[in-house]
Amino acid sequence: MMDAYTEAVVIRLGIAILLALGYWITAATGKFSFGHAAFMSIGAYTASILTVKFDWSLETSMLVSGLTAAVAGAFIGWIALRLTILYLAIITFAFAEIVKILLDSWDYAGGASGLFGMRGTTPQLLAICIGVVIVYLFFLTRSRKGLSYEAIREDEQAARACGLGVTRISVEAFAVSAAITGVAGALSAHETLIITPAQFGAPQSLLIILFVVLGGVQYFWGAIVGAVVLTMLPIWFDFLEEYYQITYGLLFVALMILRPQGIVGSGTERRFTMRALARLSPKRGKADGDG
Amino acid sequence: MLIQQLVNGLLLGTTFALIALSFNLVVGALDRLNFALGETAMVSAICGALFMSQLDITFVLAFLAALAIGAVVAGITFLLSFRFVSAEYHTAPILSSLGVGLVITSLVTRVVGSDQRRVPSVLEGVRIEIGPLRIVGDQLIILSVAALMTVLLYGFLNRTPWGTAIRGVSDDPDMAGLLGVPVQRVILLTFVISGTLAGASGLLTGLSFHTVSPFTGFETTLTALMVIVLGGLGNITGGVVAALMIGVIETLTVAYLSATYRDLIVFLLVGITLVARPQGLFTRNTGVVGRV
Repeated sequence: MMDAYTEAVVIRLGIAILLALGYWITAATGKFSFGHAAFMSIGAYTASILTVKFDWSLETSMLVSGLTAAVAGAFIGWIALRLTILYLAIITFAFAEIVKILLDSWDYAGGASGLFGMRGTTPQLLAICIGVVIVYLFFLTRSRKGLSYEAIREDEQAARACGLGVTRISVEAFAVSAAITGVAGALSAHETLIITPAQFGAPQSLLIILFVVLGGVQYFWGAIVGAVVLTMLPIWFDFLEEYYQITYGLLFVALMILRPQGIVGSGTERRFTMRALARLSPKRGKADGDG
Repeated sequence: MLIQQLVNGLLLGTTFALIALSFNLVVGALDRLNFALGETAMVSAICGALFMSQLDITFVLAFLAALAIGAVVAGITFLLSFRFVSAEYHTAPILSSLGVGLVITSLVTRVVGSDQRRVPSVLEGVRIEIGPLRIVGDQLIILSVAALMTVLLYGFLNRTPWGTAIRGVSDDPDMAGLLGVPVQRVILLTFVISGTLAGASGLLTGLSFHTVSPFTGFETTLTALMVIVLGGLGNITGGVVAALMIGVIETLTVAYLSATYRDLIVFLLVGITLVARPQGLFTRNTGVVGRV
């Protein structure tokens, strides 16, 4: 058996991987959600209420929380995915905020001070969940549906012109993604043993995005790489714990300029050149068409 | 009482209008959102508050400093999150500007601490009473400065060559470039102006609540997003009207229902708008929705 510390690290790592894989599914269709922590909190609260107040087993309540998150995901997806990426960003941001406000004022679930009384989770259960998701993704990426995800990500208009039901496929991907995130939330609630609405705010959403963006959206194992790197870095380097917000912020900025496709993945033009910098300065020889 | 609440709501709305203008300018210039503008407003407000309370300088100077700081921060954001980020990746500027926002918030908490800062009131003795209505000096300043800045912006956009260039780039950057407009510099100018507006909004909001906190950046962004969705993305006049509306609605909700419902009602309203009229309440569908 592992000692308690290793087990805690393994569980944290596993939850991060599950979150990253869940997010990858919607990112694979090119639809980025900015409020995935909301699905996490829906999953966490559903499962915790079921295990604490109704004495259900963790396995069943985990599945129910996945289902609840999927329904919420389908609803949000239906509103947002017909519109463009900016609207999706705005709607998912607002959705996460709404969930937080509602949970804050829900006294039955502990309100702002949080819900506790959960018993722990095991690495085995987590491993089974990750295994199921990886098998699903393995077959998904080799299926026709996986191809259609890729088509929508690369060129939505072309995909639509080829007769793909872009909205239906994206909403479905969004719901599946929300379901996996919900399950991850349920498991993480039974690891932290206390949940508050504030845990699932914008920083958590951004962290999930960073897992996937760092790894790259082309291959699902890129998301795993991102999750492992970003979870282990603060554990290996203690000083990062204190500066993690600055580090993550700078990581976003640097990544978007240097490798917007992620560590894993290929293909982009280089935009940061001295010539591009020089074009901004007022002293220019002749008017060249920039822009 | 109701009239007093309506006026308070309109006053709140004017500060929203400034930040919404600031977001809308960037949407117009690039069809992208700068998600770090809320944090830009926060930095300006914190610095302005510190200048006034620690260095004892007058409100006017602190306000000008806040404008300058907002402009610089927005210019830096442009360079970091937009200029050198590949246009192929639509989410890249969103993520990058969110990253800049994170960096700004943690830098501010690291440098000046995470305490709330007091904004001393200005024009202490002044107060206007019209029947039951009471307007104090701070509110007078907020109203007049916000109105002045909005009018100046309209004048700048419609009457000056640079303003015309901004509108041209917002309509069609390729065509504007072909006609000799230095597109990248116009976009930088747009960012700087939007930062100035964000800075003004930050300090004025601080003045109305008499306190600023380094953790309000994301909240400000969220409110501004609600306003510009309601008014129509990129629609400057629509944004101003929607800002006043949301200001009144929020104030009335706090006064007659409960403070917890304040954000909820706004989100609900925006949600309904998005389902029924995604292009916003005050826009004809001119294709902006398709572009951004």
